[in-house]
Amino acid sequence: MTSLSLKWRISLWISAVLMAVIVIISVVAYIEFEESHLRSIDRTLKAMANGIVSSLDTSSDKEKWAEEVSEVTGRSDKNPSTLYRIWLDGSSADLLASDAPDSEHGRWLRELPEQNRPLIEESNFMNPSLPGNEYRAVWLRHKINGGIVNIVVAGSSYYTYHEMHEFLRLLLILGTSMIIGSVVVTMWTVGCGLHPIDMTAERLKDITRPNIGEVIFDDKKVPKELRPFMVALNDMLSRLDRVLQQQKQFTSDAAHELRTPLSLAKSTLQAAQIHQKQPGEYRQAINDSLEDIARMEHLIEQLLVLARLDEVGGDTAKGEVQLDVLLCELTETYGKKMERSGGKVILEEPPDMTINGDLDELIHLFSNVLDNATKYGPPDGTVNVTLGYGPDDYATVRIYNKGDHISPEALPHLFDRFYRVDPSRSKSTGGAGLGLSIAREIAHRHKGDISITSSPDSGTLVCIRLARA
Amino acid sequence: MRVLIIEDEIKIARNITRVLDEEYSWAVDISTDGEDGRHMAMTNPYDLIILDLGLPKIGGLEILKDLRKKGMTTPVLILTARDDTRDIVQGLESGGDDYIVKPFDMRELMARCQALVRRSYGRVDPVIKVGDISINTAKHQVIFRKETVRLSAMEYRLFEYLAMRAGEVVSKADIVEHLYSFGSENFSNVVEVYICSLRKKLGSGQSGEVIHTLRNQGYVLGELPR
Repeated sequence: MTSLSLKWRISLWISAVLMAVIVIISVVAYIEFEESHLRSIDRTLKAMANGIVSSLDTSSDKEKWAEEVSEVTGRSDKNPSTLYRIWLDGSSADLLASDAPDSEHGRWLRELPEQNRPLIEESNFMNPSLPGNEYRAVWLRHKINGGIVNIVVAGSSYYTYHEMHEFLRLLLILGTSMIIGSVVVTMWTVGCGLHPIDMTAERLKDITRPNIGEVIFDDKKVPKELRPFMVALNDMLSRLDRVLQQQKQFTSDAAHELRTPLSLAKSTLQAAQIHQKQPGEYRQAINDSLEDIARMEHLIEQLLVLARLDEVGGDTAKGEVQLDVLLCELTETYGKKMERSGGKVILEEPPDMTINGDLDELIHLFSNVLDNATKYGPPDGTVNVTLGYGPDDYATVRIYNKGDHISPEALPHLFDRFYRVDPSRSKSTGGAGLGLSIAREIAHRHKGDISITSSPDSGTLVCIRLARA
Repeated sequence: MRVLIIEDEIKIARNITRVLDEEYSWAVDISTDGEDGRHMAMTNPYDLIILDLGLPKIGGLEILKDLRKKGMTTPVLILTARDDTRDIVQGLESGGDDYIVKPFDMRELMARCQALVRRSYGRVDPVIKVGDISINTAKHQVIFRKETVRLSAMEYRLFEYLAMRAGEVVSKADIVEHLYSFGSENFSNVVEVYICSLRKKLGSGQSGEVIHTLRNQGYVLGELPR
């Protein structure tokens, strides 16, 4: 089933409710109106009948009595709508009748249904069905000296019913126009209310990558109820824009970083190719190119690591890792490298510690940090590494080197991708500014964190916190 | 011709230097940071500056703008890894004359350098004709009376410079400034030696000397200015 539009649904609901209310009001009003009209007719008829009764008691002269009766009932030649008949129980002859027995009304007056006969001194109302007009009649029986007299007075209720029909027609017209009006107003209101959504949808259609950051939904016409929706939409778009910008920046940075060693190798090889050279020069060119290729390899490897770490839901292959053993091995490896320039890496008595983690990633993390510590510190300096329990359920590794310090302006950016404290120096060290951002990603994946503090007096301290469980 | 390369990747700078020197016999200076590079560019009359954009200390674009602000007309070729159209447009709008994206082709770079220098001397044709001598700056070839003349690197460097400015008086100081890079032994009396050897190799023109000496003023290749 195709669902109706909101506009129609609301309109239909409102008109249904309205219709029910109008119908109920109309029915109640109609019934009340009818009853009150009938009551007033009944009162008149009863008054006429009572008038006849009293004339019975007072008048002796038949002629005068007939006159009195027609005065009471208002029956005249001009007004033939009131009918009456007066007769005695057990007699078929009329004492008085407004219509001749052979006329249509006269026939009805003489053939009253027996079940309508009232008890003595009581009256009964009827709705006779006579051709032409609607009638209302009262039948009254009254005891007199000569027996029981029956009095029937009928009056036309045509005007009453006519008025009732007019009233009904008015109700219908009023009700229908109210329903139509309410539908129109509802449709218009709902349409106005929903317009911002249509407009938003229209604008959303035009959003593509280049203009995602420009479209802002802050129209003043938006109804209050839709504001949170618009705000959320704006937020979502700006979040998306940020992610896209970051992605774009990352891609462009990565391309830039790859281009540098590539153009190095290319220019070296082309320079060697252009002119005939000595074998030694060719060898130098080959060595230079290989160095650049190694730099590219390293960069690509780092990019791949980052891509893998960025994968949504790319969960680590976690297992038990002996952190103390891992640090022992790594400090030894980097210690040997430092020894060549007269420096050393010292791991201070690590306690036995096993954490739940990914061995490869942890090696990557500590290698990156140790690599930086040994590369950027003084060549003959000392790098101290400590491992300890706490805080809480964390393991904390501190890697400290006294010497080179990082400027306070650079500190907040250290973990940004492709950020380098000194771009010119990294060319000689070969870094692309990815090591620390990789390290942080890995720390985050181990429910931990990494922080760096640095000052000229105390040197640089890298603090790595990892969840043990 | 004398070129300045401001490039922080020393290897690239060296490779370009080598090629420009071997192929064109141009004198090349290298600077690996922005500050030093800007200073060099401002204080020497280079025929061309090859400029990287991502430089330590001072960015390439800033150097370029500073140079143009000072009214320096030296052609600048931007050589960078930034390939975004916006960067290219910005580079050219800041006063750059050409833009090459890394990784580049060495031959293309050379050809563009050649064209930029040629243009800066108001020459359209890479072949310059002076009397009976024609010098093909692209092929690095000098033909005198339909015969190729073999010139040494320094002789060619000097002759090319004179040819570019043929018909003008070129002072000795100008020659020295445009022929020698920093650190090379630029004894000014060597200029006379090269002029002498050029005269010998190119002989005298139909109307006398090809290279005229104007005392205390300098040299003129081709017809003397009136």
